[in-house]
Amino acid sequence: MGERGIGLCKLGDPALQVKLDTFMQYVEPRWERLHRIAGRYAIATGDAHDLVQETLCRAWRNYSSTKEAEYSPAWLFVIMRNVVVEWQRTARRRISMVPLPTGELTEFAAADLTESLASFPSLNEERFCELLDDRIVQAMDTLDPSFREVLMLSVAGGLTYRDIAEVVGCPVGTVMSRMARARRSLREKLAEFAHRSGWVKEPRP
Amino acid sequence: MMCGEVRELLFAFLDNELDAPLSIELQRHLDACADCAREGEIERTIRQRLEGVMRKAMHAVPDVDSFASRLTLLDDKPQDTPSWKSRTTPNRVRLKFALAAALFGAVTLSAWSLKGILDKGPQLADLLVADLEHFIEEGSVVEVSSSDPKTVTAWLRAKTALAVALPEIPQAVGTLMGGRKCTIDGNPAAFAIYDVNGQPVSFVVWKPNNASVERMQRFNMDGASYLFESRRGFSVIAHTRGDLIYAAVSPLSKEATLKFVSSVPNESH
Repeated sequence: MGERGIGLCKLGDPALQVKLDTFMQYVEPRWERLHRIAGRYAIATGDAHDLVQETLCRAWRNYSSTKEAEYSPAWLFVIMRNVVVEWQRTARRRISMVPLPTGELTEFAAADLTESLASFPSLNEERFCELLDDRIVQAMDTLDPSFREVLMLSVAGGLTYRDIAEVVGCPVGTVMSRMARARRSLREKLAEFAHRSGWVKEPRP
Repeated sequence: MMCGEVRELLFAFLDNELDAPLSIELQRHLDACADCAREGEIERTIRQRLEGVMRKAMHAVPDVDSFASRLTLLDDKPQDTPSWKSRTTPNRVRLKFALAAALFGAVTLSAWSLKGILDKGPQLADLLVADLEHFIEEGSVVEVSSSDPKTVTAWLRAKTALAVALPEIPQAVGTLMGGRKCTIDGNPAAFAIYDVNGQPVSFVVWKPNNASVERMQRFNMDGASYLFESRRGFSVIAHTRGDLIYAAVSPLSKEATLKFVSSVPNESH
């Protein structure tokens, strides 16, 4: 930890050193996940890097080492989402996934989640995995943005449902519902592809 | 637990989001129901493959420690998060050079005392480098945002009452980003900023005052006389034309920085 902020040591500002150390303790475990999520929000790699940097710069400016305990695990991701919404509004970056405002989600009332999941033709495991790797990201990109976002935050960001709820600004129950709908929809698209592509049942030996 | 209930809770179960009693009950059902167990396996596989594909597709992640060192160049006083709008009011653009400043190995402005320097008389290169560093640290905000030299020139002339001329730089070399009015050596100055492959190059025009050039090296090129100094990782090139000084400051080489001063058209008045 003392290796960081060598420039600060020369400046002789112990308070700033403490702030930097505690801030980086908070950031470091989330560093890779931030980049993973940014890579899903932004279209170009350069924009994804900018998104992370803008997020962390804003976080740094507002960070207080004395209030360290008050920063939730999702704080940085909340900031990132706010940046994404702003960038989309000002059209300053190409955003691949636009979070929908909560108020527009009434039409997405939970479907009957007790229904059976889309069936796959019988595939051996190797062929099933080939199918998934070829098509899974494409299938995800065609999902409804609000569903895609919660799935992305969970898979790419590793966020809990509670964290996702904080980031997108909705109740945990809504996150659960969107997650279920996202996964069902994803599965339907993959199953549809599997049937269309003739991934047929392996003949019995 | 019925199969319908299991399907409703399956994803939350696989994501470890259910409480212990509910998880146990659901697992008991999966142990007893082959159909639901198969569904669980399919969903688990889908999620795992999705994680793997996203991880592979991820762009190279920069080193976190190098980012930490650059944070020290930002204003460390907590302030209200500026809205994107306030940074992008008409004719203002935010450039991305703040983090590039770390590459120059520059000491932050707060650690460098202008007073100490001025007591001995200002050195021109110090003033120009400080101006560019200040511009970057303040967020690289320009007052006229345009890549058209005519637009920026006209604005700078109007604001500074100086017969400003900007260098003729091909797009392939660098892009004009905009300009602002500033003060150099106590006098109003015209400041234009260029982006050369992500590196900032400032071009400044002003009437000289008291700044000293005693440390700068003189050299001639194509019949014209220039001054050069390397200061804190920046190349500083200056050239006198009439009663004005034209100067360029950049982290680039002396030759690359010289292009900005030597390519100012003669018909500047």
